[in-house]
Amino acid sequence: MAERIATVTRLKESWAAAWSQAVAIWSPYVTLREPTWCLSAQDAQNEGLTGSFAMIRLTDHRVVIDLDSVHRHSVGDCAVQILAHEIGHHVLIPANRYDNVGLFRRMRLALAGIEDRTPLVANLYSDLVINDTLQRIHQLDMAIVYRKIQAKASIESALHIWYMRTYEYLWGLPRGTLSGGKQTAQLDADASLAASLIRSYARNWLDGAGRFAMLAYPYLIEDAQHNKARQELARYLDAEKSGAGAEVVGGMAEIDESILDGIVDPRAEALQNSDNKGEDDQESDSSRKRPEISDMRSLQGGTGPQKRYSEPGTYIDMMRQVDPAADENRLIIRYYREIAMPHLVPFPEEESAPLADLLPEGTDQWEPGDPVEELDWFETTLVSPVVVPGVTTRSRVFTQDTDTPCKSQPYNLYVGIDCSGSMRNPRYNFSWPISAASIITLSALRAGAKVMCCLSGEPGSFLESDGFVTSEHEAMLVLTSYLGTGYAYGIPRLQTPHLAEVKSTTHLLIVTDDDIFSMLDAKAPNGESNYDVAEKALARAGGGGTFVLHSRPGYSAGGVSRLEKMGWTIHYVTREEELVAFARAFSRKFYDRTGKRQ
Amino acid sequence: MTEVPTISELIHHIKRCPAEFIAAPVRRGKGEVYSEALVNDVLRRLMQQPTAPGKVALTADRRSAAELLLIQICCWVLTHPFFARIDNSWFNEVFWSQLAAVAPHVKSELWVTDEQRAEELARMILKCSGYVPAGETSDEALDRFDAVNTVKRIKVIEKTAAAEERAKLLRRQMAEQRAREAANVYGRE
Repeated sequence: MAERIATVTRLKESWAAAWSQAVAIWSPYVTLREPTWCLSAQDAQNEGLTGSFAMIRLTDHRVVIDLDSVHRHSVGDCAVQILAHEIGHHVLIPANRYDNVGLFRRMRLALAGIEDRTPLVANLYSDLVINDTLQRIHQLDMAIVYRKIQAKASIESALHIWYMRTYEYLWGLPRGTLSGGKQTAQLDADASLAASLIRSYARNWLDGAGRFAMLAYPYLIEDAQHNKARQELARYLDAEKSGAGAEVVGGMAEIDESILDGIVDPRAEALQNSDNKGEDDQESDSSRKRPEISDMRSLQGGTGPQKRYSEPGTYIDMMRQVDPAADENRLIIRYYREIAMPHLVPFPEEESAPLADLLPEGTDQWEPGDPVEELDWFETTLVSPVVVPGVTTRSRVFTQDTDTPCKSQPYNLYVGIDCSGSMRNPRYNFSWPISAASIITLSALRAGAKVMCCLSGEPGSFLESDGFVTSEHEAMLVLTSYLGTGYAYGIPRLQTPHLAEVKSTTHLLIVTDDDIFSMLDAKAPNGESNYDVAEKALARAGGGGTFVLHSRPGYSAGGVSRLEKMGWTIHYVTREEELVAFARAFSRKFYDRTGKRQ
Repeated sequence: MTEVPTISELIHHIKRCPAEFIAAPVRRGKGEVYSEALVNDVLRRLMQQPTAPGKVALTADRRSAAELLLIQICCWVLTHPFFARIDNSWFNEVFWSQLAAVAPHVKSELWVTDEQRAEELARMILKCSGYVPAGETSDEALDRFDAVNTVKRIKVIEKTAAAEERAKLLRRQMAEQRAREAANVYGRE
């Protein structure tokens, strides 16, 4: 035990000394903190290391090394190689959280049906790119590390053999040096394609990610194959959780069409290229159908405005793969926020002009070096007749009198959303009503209004924000929740104390469907007619009210006429998609440019 | 004893191929380079008989542009001083037939731009000439040639294409099933 501790301590000293050398391999300008050294298995476990002897974290830009495991794997004398490899994850691939999600995004498309294997494949791909760069460009002997580890390794799974055979091809190592003795012709062919791919996409590694995942796909379909490969390759998995604990990366809800072009199977590509008959025929290259792109598009789906976005379930799944600890609420809020952003009203602008010139406010110390014209001789001589620069010298301080024109306040907004059984869960399927409500809510908040949100599926349950709030998170948290109870929005919700004594003019917006008229015909718990509840709430709010009905004009004509007489505006949408257009128009009408009302 | 170049040296030589060697071959009256004349010139140079009559008849019209381009690139490879030092009897029909087999599978420009294809060409020519690259044993050289051998790779891929198709079908079915499940669980009433 004492001997092990002494060995690990010695390792720490030699590895710490190798750190600066490893950094310099990439660039002397790389500024990374020295790794966290774990001297025991327990330390390593506390840092989150499982299986591998090293890992990286993109959140705090750290490298973590388990020196005890390094000793056990007999790679103690490969400090520069291993440290340079870990630094490579920070400077080359994935390098940052945005590209890390981009890598996952591409690979998930290629691994359709087995997306849970994405972190493993992403880690293997990153390692190949980094190691080949180090070996080929930086002349670092990375092969020695793999020789040492593979000498004792069990090499049974096809993925493991294929992966190591790729290294053999890349570095011109004799057959079986790293991949054992169970290669097949197919593994050889795939490894050869992988080696070619790694070289071709070394600089634009994001573009090669989909192709690499396609190559790995056949070796991961079966659960047993995957589990075996995972077990055998565990010691190499140092970047699987690199995105853990990070803030949610933006811009990932939208489907990037250009990504789909990279989801190509290199095997199919090789067969396609084999049709090369010479220049005469190469002209038709551009017109050739790229394999599987159309398939991928249909699988990927596309929802929301212009069908440009992933389904929320897919989005959450992907983001939680990048960061398993990510808060689902934050993710879904981010998702609908991203969809709403292009439709929000512009940030409010206002012009103010100074009413008067500068007003003298007092005096301050004048220091040598300050502009001489600022020196106030009168004030200076008042302090002392003997002028000592920087001690007795004073300068005049002015303030600017600014214009504070009166400005009209935007209406506060009450958003009531029908969240009955007829509504989809916005966390699993894209929801047009929630998307529209997000556009309006975020526009109102941007314009300076306060918003109260209420989800209601009654009879049954409701969920509302704690009064009128200015917090985007609080409002969106309510909107992106789900009830799925009852049959319509509960009109008695308008009896909330927050609407009983409104402090500033409020507009009521209710998004629901035809079932609302059954609700209006019913009585509130206090025996009052729901029509009366709606009328009183509208009068108290003072800013008007809008019912957005997923229905057709003419349905429930009696009820509509009664509401209109009260002062409610009725807006019909016959298709849910129209809700976004309504939300844009509504936001512009009420919240475009601060204070400008209809 | 003849000093054989390393494979890296030959790859470097291939990548320096002048544009004239990859210009369009003359076929059916169109093109820029008479491949047959080029081959015979290279042969005369290798045999050190500048005025010898042409020995090779390529019948360019019967060959594809890709094959003729590869022949032209090979002519450049053979300008390496090593080939002038060795016997040139290997430069025969067997060699031509190898080129005909591989040419349709590779885009012509890749022979001189892609590292792996350049290696394949270098190894193929050395193998035909009966020499092993410097620093390698004959087994190693054979294994490494197999590693970059396009014809062999295409054959394997074609053989496994059926299994790949099954995998793709399975993948599609799995993804569609997941999409259906999601829609069913959380769909409308």
